[in-house]
Amino acid sequence: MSNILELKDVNVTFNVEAGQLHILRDVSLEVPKGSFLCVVGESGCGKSVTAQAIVQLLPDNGKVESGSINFYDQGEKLEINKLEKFGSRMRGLRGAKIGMIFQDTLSSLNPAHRVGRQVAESLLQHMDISKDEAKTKVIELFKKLGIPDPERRYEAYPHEFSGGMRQRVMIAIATVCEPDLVIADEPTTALDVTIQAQIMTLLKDLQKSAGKTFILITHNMALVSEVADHVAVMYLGRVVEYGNVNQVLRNPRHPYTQALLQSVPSLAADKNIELKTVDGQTPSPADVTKGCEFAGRCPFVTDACREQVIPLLSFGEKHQVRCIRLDEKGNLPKLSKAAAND
Amino acid sequence: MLAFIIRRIAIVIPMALAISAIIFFASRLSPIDPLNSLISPDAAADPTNLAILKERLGFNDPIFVQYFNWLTEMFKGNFGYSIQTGQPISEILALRMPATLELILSALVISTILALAIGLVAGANRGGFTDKASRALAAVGISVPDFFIGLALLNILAYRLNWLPTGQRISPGQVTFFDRLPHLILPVATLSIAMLAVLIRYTRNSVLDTLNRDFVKTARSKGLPEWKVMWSHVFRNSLGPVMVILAFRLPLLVGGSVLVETVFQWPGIGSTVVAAVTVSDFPVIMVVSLLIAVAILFASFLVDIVKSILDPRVRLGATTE
Repeated sequence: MSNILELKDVNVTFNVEAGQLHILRDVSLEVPKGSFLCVVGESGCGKSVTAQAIVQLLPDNGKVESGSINFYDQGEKLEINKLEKFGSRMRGLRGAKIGMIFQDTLSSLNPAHRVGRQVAESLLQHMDISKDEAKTKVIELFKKLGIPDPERRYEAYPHEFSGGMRQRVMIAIATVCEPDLVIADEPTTALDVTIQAQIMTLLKDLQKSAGKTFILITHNMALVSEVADHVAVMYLGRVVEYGNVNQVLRNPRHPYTQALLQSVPSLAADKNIELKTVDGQTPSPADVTKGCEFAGRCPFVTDACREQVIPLLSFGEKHQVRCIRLDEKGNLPKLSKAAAND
Repeated sequence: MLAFIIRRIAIVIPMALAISAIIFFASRLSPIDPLNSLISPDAAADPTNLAILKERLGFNDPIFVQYFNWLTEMFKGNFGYSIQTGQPISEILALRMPATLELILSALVISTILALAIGLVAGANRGGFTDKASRALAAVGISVPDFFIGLALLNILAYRLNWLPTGQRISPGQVTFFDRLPHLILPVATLSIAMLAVLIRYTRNSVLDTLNRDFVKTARSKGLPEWKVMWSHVFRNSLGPVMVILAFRLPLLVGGSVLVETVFQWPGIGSTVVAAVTVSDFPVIMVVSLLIAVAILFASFLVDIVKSILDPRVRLGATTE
């Protein structure tokens, strides 16, 4: 299937007081049309920055230094990173072709405007329709998204909604213009587990029924296994492993992915077994030198890992791993007992 | 909304009463006996004369009764008489109030509109020309006293360049509003500049704060043009804090008008108060203080209403995140 979005060697830097931080390093991703891609990784690994770079809404001090971001609009290739940030072409993509869902729904909705207006705003911007038509459409969408009493809720303010309902409103904003691609940046992190499940079901349904492409940014591995087709694992600004959901979750190859999956608590697990954590601290982006970013915490580390630039190796069908310790079959060397207990 | 307004009024009324009590009792604490200016020194030599006067004016009643009587008369619109001139105070007010209102309201409207416009531009283009220029203006406006700016403007624009009249509200023989306008420019400019300086900075900072809020990112993610993001998302949410500062600065505007009226010989309440204070004309001082206090209370009440329109969370008593 053809791709709707391609990121090729994207580098993003942030200017801070101390100098320049290299936040994204050679990030390459391919998102097939109609797929559900999950981008996972711990806080600060560059997941959200990746999303912001795609829609060109990086903070003022951030910048796409090099690389290309291509979006395919009905077969037409658009080089997003060459479009003017607030130019009409880019604005025509945002909202209309690429929808965004944010994490903190209370702060992401304007407290002074009624929610209906906030959703309709996007419609009125991109489509040639009257205010009344927009209102009808929004109310219809509210109904579809499971917002009870949509006519009355249209006139309500964000603070009058619960977190889950607000997230439905956010989803309405992101999808009202029927964009081809929806990027959800940790949409369920601030919600109760039961509400999380409802929201994820809603997103998955949207993907299946409307044939939309989703990029879900999350650190919740349980969610990933439920919804994802493809998974990209990020660590400190790099994609360290990419593949379909079976490859990455059932057969993880990168030591970081393995550690990450082992640190997911399971209900079936014996209470007496200590939960595994990833040893050590995530280094600051300012400390990164050449070599593997994970070297400091990796049990399989060798001198070579620290000194050479690590290439992205392919195994099987598009299963890519950034690790030089893998053999031709993609297996990591056996750890000696002493090293394992270390 | 109605419930919110009623709640606010329920707060404003006791406050107004408290202020009236403070004004009344404070005036009675003064060591200066207002009776002295009501009676000729010869008559005052005989204590019985003083006693008769005291009895007749109600000074022998218990002080709370006096306060109550004074308050009822105030409510009836009977503000009493000036000790100095014997004129009814309501007459003085009718004569002087329009001039002061003209001055203060012009300054308020002009400084608010200018400050919001300049502050928005300065905040939206942080570090740009407007931002830097407004910072310089703020430094001047905040650090240099009103009366000095007034005198400097007077010296340059009126005295040396002769572009504008040096004072008064109107020149002899002129009647229309446009005749009066040149007289208004210097006093209003003087009064506005401090207010303007502070408000520009607050608006600018408030705009910068709002720009960092997440909902601005949401607005941009809808593909709205920047002017729309600025106008309907950033600006409206930046106004709340500015309104609070506006309410806080109002008393300073009233205080400033006293000085400005004196510098520009403006025939308003301010210059009346200055004259009343110099001769201990207590009835006038009390009425004017009370009026100013009530006006400021009313203004802050209005600001509350405006705030509740800008941010619906205010009227529901919800916390602001």
